[in-house]
Amino acid sequence: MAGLSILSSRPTLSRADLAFCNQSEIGSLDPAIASGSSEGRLLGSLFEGLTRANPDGGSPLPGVAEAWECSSDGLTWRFSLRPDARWSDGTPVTAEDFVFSWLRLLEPHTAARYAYLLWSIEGAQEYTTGGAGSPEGLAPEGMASDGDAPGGDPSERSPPGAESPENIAAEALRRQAVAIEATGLHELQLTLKRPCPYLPQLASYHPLAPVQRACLERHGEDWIKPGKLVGNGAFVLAERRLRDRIRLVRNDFYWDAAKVALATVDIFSVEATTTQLNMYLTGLVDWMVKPPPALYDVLLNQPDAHTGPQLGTSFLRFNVRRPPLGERRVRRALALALDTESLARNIMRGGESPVDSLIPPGLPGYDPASMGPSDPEAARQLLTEAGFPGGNGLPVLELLYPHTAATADFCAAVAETWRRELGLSIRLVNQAFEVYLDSTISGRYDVSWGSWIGDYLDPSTFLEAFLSGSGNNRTGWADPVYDELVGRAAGLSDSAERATLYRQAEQRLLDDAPIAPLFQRRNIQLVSPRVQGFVDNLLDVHPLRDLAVSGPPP
Amino acid sequence: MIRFLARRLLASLVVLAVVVTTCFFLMRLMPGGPFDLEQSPDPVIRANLLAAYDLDAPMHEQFARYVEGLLRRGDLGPSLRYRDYDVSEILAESLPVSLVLGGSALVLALVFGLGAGALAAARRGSAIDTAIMSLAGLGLALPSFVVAGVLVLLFAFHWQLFPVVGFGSPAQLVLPAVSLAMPFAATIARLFRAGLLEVLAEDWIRTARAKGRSPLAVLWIHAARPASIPVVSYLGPAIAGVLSGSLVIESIFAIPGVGTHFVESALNADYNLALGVVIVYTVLLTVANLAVDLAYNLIDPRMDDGLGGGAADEAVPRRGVAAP
Amino acid sequence: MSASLFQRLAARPGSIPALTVLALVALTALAAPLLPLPAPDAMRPALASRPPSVSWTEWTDLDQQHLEETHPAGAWARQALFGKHSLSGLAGTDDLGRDLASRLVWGARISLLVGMAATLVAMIIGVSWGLVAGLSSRRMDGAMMRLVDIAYAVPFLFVVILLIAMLRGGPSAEQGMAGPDRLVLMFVAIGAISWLTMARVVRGQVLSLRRSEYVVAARALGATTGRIARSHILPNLYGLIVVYLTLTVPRVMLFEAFLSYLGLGVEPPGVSWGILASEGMATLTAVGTSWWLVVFPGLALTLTLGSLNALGDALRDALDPRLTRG
Repeated sequence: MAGLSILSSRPTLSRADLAFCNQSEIGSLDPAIASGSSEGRLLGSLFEGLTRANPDGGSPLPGVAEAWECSSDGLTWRFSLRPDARWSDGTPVTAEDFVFSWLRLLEPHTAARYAYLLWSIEGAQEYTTGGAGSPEGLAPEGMASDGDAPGGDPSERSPPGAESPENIAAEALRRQAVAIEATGLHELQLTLKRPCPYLPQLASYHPLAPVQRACLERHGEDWIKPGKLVGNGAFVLAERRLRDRIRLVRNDFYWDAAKVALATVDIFSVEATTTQLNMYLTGLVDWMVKPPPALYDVLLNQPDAHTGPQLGTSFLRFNVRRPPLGERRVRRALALALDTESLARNIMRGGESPVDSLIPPGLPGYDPASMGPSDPEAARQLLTEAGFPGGNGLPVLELLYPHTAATADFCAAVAETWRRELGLSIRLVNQAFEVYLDSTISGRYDVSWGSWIGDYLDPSTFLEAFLSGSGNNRTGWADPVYDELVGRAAGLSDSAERATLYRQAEQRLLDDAPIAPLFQRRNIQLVSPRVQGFVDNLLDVHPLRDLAVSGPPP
Repeated sequence: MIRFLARRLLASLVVLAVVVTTCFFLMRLMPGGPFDLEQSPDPVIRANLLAAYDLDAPMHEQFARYVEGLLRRGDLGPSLRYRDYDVSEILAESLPVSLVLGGSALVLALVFGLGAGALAAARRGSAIDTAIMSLAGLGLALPSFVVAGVLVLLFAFHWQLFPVVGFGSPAQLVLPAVSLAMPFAATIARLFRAGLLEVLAEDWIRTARAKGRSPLAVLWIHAARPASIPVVSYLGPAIAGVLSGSLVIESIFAIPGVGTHFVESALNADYNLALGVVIVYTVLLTVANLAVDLAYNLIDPRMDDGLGGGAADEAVPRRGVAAP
Repeated sequence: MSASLFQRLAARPGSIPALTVLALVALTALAAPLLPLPAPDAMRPALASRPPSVSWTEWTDLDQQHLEETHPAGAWARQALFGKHSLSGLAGTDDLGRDLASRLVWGARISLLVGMAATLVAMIIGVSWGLVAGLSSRRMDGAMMRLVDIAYAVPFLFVVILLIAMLRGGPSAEQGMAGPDRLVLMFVAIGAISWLTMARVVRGQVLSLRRSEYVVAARALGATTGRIARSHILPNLYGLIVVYLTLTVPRVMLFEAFLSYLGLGVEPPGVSWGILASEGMATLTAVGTSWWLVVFPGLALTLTLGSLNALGDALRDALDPRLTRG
């Protein structure tokens, strides 16, 4: 049959040294555009930045940069790149590559989500936002292609819009003004407009990884396809089958290739958790992220279950713009009435520990603030004080959450608690993830499920989300004192001072309660005992170059 | 015949146009855009993103551009979710997979359905007949994902006869194809059995029997053809059902076909991919219906309600019932 | 007609059992508020993942509250009948300690409701369409059926998914739509998928009835189309319609299960058999399965849908005497 011939045209791949299930199909292999934890797991293996992630989750290790130093005022950074760093086509990696790549990240055309990571560099924010802050004033730059093609990589298309010579010139000027410079073949210098002590951490993150200019110019939008992609990471892209798998092979030109134990890695992009679990249980994969919560009781007792705290918290957001949630006492009442301990233990059952802060414990050099323990009696008191004794007079509140099993059950339990302890009526609203996001972004909710996962080990990654103008705030809560504290801390380079200011800010946030903290999120994965070098850490980073396997695959 | 074909083609194009237009606008009216993630991008970055993909232009302009690209270059646009791929690339990769899965399922459904139906009709009223019809009832009453799950449990875990997931080798195709085929095999069995019984009761069958032909020959040679009419007319909806049912099956067995893109693109607001899938699906359905109607004409040229088709998907008494 | 029809029906093997099963299911679903079962959404984590057993437990405030919210009259009656006791664990519990038997019974209400309502929608649209087409001029008929042909080619599934995903957008308060209203829209959406076949079949039947002696005679005597439709055509359609209703409900209920698997069906804390089946599927792995979570919803579906199918077949056989010969 014709069908069987199709079967044979896609040769069955043999079992790789290491195979694992990535949570979902990745959006893109372009490190500047990609966003999401699934991408994070593999892009670090294809592209290495100035620094690289530490397999035990601590301070970043030298990557392309051998050493780096920062001036005493925290505003000038110098990175010395190792001379033996190479692209997978053998050509050397130079500082110029980083200048090109970082400018590309900032370029408005690229529309890179993580461009803001570099905005502490002088001139960077103005370059991305076009100075005036509106995209209409932007002009194409670099590779242009067929003007009105609906397809094409956004970094090469010319947007339909003004392309006046003034705009082109203005943009070119802004690009010049970005303070990233190659002061030598292997020397990179940055001038910041405010200190950024965690810059080396950011540098290990894939948006700041280098891409090879020659490759982009030669292949255009196809540059990320297997056979064409040139990267400087420990692995190269051998095959990509959409919604099936991505195969990586060891990069022999990688400067540390001698230490890379794995020859081939398969990354499956299966979405159904039950299917992923079955693949793990039958030995098709060695590592599975996020097993189905319904089976936690059985799975988490096995030795191959790796659980550990995550750099993230789950909480409930209160839409401060909607009465009666504008009233602080009502919000605090709702927060204090929850017995987060028993909720986390009985419903989530992944070993999540309750928190009463926004920032989870575990950040080096930072002690989170505290809202106070669960206290239903005090909650009832607060409600009475606010003019709603026993819950009378309160309208039906809606609790919004995205559709996943664990969230649904948790929110149902929360609703029950509020009913029981405070006499409230709660309506549960369940939406598909994208729709739920849109609802929270546009403020169409009363109370909503929320969570925040930090990108790097610094309190700012959490606190900046709740600045008045932040798109990640979504509660309508605005406190100028909070904004001021966070802003001031960002300008300091002394970590103890920063920590003090951040803590004050966090305490203000918790006292005002635009959120009700629930629990610290947990990294839960199943890892076969044949995998070595797998260390559980807060950031959940497991660089493939540091993993090895013992024995043949099952 | 030519006129018939031409008319149908024209109708199909109209259908395609209507469907594409409706879905185009329907998708963009949905709340939530393709670029939302738990971390909202800076408003400027978001604006840049939308501009890069043309999504900030007024809707009719977007539509015009899309249609132009489609008609002039056969360009279905870039995927908004899989940013490294064009929609046509995605479809080119996944469509053959789904076709193999769907095709195998249909073949299985036909083979088993026709066989079971014939057996049941031949042994009418016996235990075999009851057993087959009960099994068919079961196949129609259970959702395909339950059937798939049970099959996996039995044949992949318990008895370890077949691999659990994946696509590429014939062994990996067995469980998914069987799960997918079940409800259709069940319906075909029932239809064929009913059709056979109806035909077997006809006068001219009795004549053939009287002439001394063996029962088996009678069954297959004379009865099969008209009895298969309802089966043939069921093929249209069956193909549609196979394509949509493959959605769940592909998810359970990790098969990289078009089905998963179906729902994903709707929920992810990946406009271009969603439209691309809709177009493919509509074309497939139209071709399938056309083929079915042609086959129908071949089998029974007597039906001339002018549309070359239009029978029910279950055998119904086509003659009138007694007046009250 | 009814008496002899029923006799013929009763003569078909399987029809009486099927009717019995269906009656039982319907009665249980109706009586759900009165039954001595815990509330379907009451979580008792201490009792999680228990296989079926028989035990009496305390009827808590939680259970009471749920019943009062959904069915105040029933709450009073139940209180009178069973006081503070409930029979729990009859079908086991799920991983959050919710009682499966209770969820099955309450889920039956939703599943049957969806099945019947959506089928009703399909019937109304389909029958009207088929009737009008069959009775109209040849051109009109042709045009109407061409539309049906066109509709057959539309990937309705996709449109329904889009519709439902759209309807989930925005909290209900905003759009003035409460949970139950969303359910109604789901009926309409599912029903809109299923009417095509009904239209075709009805039209076919109407066409052949038109040629029957009675109608020809009535026309010759000067009866209007409306009169003919009412007295001659419609009565002969009832049987057909009933057969089709009986056969469409299972398909609709399966579709609801399908949607629930995708997360687009009934929303928690509502429960339907589709949700139960897909929840059960999530526990079906090589690591210790909770078999009751799959078997019982599966049984419920099989018995009910199977009975419907059997009944539909029996009805169809009963309506067409020709098949009983030979």
